[in-house]
Amino acid sequence: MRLDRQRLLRISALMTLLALTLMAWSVLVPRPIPLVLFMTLGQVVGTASFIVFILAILIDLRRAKVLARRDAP
Amino acid sequence: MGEAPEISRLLAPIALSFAVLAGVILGTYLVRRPALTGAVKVWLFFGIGVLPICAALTGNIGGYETSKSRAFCASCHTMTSYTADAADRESASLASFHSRNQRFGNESCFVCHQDYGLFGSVTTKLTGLRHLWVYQTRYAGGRQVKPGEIELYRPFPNGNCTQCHSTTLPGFSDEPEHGAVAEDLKSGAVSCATEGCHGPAHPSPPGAS
Repeated sequence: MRLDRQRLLRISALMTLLALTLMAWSVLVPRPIPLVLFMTLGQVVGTASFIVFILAILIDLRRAKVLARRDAP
Repeated sequence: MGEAPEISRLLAPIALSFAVLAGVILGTYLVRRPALTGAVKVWLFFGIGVLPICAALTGNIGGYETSKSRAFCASCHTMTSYTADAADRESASLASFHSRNQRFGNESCFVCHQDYGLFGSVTTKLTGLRHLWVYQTRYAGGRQVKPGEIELYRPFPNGNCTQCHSTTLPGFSDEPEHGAVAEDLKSGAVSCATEGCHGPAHPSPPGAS
């Protein structure tokens, strides 16, 4: 599957929203289940969304020829 | 649930503000699907990077502090008899006695039961995950605790007492009982909180023999 910047950014945005929702739930309802979900699943999803965002930036930089391919002349 | 720690109450609106701002940026991006101009990239940098990281940091600190509070422990019904006794200013139990000390205060469960040492906070939180698993699989839905059913996973470490109570000062060594079981206290074979010594730390739960 071709990595498309826009698609990656949309995926990253959705994952970030999910992580933020878990965080907000744990703040509004400070009980064990919301807190543990935020501190485990929320952290994983949030970190993954940021990695996807970085990937989109790298693709964008390569596209703008700021980052050259290794095999480029 | 009871009162949250002051720092959690302070950080909660800050964390929520970061989350709402990020949510507005991301929601707008997902609905409008704009072209990736320089300005959109900067907005996304804030919406996916800066604001969520700030929200996570403040949310984590607030959540960690909340999880240390006695009110948080009391949010599981299996703990309420213990936490109610600890909060009872008239109770003569070891737990209540310590909870009246400012050093313990509203975090008395955590201060006495946490693991000390380099990774103490981490291992304590991992044990907390185990608590949650046990609670959800055995007591969720309000099932009442049978007398004597709840017990510590391992003997209460005397090191948790000696974090504050010195074993080298005369007040300790002058007690002949301490001298008689000095080695057992060091090895953990005898607990400070044994009935007849300084325990039990908590009164027996309702219905316990």
